[in-house]
Amino acid sequence: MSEKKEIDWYSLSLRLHKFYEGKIETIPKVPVRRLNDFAIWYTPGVAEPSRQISKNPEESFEYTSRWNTIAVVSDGTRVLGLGKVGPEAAYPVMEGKALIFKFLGGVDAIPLVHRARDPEKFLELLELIEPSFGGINLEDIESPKCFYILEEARKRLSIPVWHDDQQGTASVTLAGLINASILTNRDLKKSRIVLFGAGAANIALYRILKAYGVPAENIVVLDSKGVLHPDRDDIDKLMISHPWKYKIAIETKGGGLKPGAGPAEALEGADILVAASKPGPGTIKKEWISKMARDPIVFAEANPVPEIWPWEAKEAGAKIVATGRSDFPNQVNNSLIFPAMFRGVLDVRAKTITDEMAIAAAEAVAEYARLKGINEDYILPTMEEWEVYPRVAAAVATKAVEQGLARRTTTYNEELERAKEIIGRTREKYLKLWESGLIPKPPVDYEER
Amino acid sequence: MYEPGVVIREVRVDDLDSVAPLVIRFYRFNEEFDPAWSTKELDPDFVKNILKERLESGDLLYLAEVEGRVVGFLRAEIRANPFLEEDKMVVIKELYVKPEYRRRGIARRLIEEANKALEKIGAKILAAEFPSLNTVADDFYKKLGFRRYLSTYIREV
Repeated sequence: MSEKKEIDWYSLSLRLHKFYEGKIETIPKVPVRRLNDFAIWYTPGVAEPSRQISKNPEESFEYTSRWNTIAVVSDGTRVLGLGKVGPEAAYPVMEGKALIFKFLGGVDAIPLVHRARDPEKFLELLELIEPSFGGINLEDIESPKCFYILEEARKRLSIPVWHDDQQGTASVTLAGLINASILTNRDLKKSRIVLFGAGAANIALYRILKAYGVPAENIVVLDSKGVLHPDRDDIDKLMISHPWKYKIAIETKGGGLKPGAGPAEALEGADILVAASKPGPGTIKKEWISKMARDPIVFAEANPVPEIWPWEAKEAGAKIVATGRSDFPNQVNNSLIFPAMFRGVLDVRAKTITDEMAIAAAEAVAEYARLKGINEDYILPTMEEWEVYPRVAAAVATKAVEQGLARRTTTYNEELERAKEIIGRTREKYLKLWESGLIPKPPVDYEER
Repeated sequence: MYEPGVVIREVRVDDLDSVAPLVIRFYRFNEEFDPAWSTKELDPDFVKNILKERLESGDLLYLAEVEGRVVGFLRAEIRANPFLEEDKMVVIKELYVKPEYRRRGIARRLIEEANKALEKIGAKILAAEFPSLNTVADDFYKKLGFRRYLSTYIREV
């Protein structure tokens, strides 16, 4: 990367947040031509839809904006890399997410930050607000609490619940692994996969890889203390404090390694490394990668600095390298999945998001990249290739119908058209507002490259 | 639930090398729930010698074996109180099954084995002791039909 002048995104962002006073607002989508129109949208007319919904609450998906509205929920306990910054400080992040939901997926998303840090309270909150929303996007919640909240919320609520740091990152990683395996002539289901870091992303990836068909024994997971292994000294402690790590240790049998094994032993002869741990450089060592199998695949997903620089990984023998950064090739970017995931589930009024639906999304992303032509530096589409979103939405929606989890039926082509139409119309509306000057030009700006 | 391939039998002196690490794990586990259960630095040979003494003094020691490997273990003592109608009982003091062999009913079978000893010694009560704060053990024994019987309170100075 040959940067001319580093852009100071922090001060620019601060200044523009203040200037625009937030990033989203609500705008009517129905005719309001004269005062009498309110008799339709409000009293007295609105009493009739209200009566209908009262008879059958499911009708709320038909007569209100509930079907297309989700809450972006956070308790502010693990915001970006900032830690426990509190709910108020999480708001701009949630609002940013809401902006992307709308812009890329046509989904109306409401930031909802709260003080219910206790997991039971958090869950109660979700149950209490369920009637307002067609889905819940959980965001920036500390681990391991986030696993319990997602698992329980999926059981207790009849609307889709998604935690992007878990399923989002895992799905887009799977998409990348599918194509990287094709390029290196591997069968992903027979590959030895090392997951470095046992946080939200990799623990969810483990589950999704298994659902995809990778046997648990092919996977090795490491946390900061080494391989998750049934004979590890703290294994019984994990059973109490982190049942998810415990389960992985038992199911993977520590990948057949010795109890105290570390990354060097785990990576010897491995086909694939997915690091989702702490920022590098130097978190992953070149020597470890040089011991991997032929043409190894290395995903180093930490931000802002990957666990190992892509060129270092390549020097050590990596054939395909992916990171979380947009300025390197192969960005593993959640934004490729979540807007379309919700577009799909909302359009069929799905009751949940299963791992199979996440896999369908990953396969759709991977397939789109293949249609464009994959190579070592292009295993995943970029956010600009917005044609991928309707395809992902259609794949997810049809999977939801197939699994009997949708309130409405659809076909692939029907959803593809609907998603294109909804996302396209959102963009067109926005463009009109922008071009007309109703959205003011920024008083300070950065240089486009 | 009887898992094929799991053998439950009495512990012999030559098993103690394999049993000792499980005892250490048992105490490390309980340490998690209550600092008053903190263990010494436990050397396997030291543990082995204690077990040997206990085996020789009449404690009941059983192990679970899969393909010749020891995967679980139970030790119980015979306790007497001549003042009570039921003047003898068998008390489970240590019980441990390796994580990868859990949820197969092995602990339950070890307990059944200890239960068989009751008849031999003419006792009717099988008891189990564990830290009050060990919720895992609490749930486990309740599920097997055990109830609260004895309370031990401590005060640390």
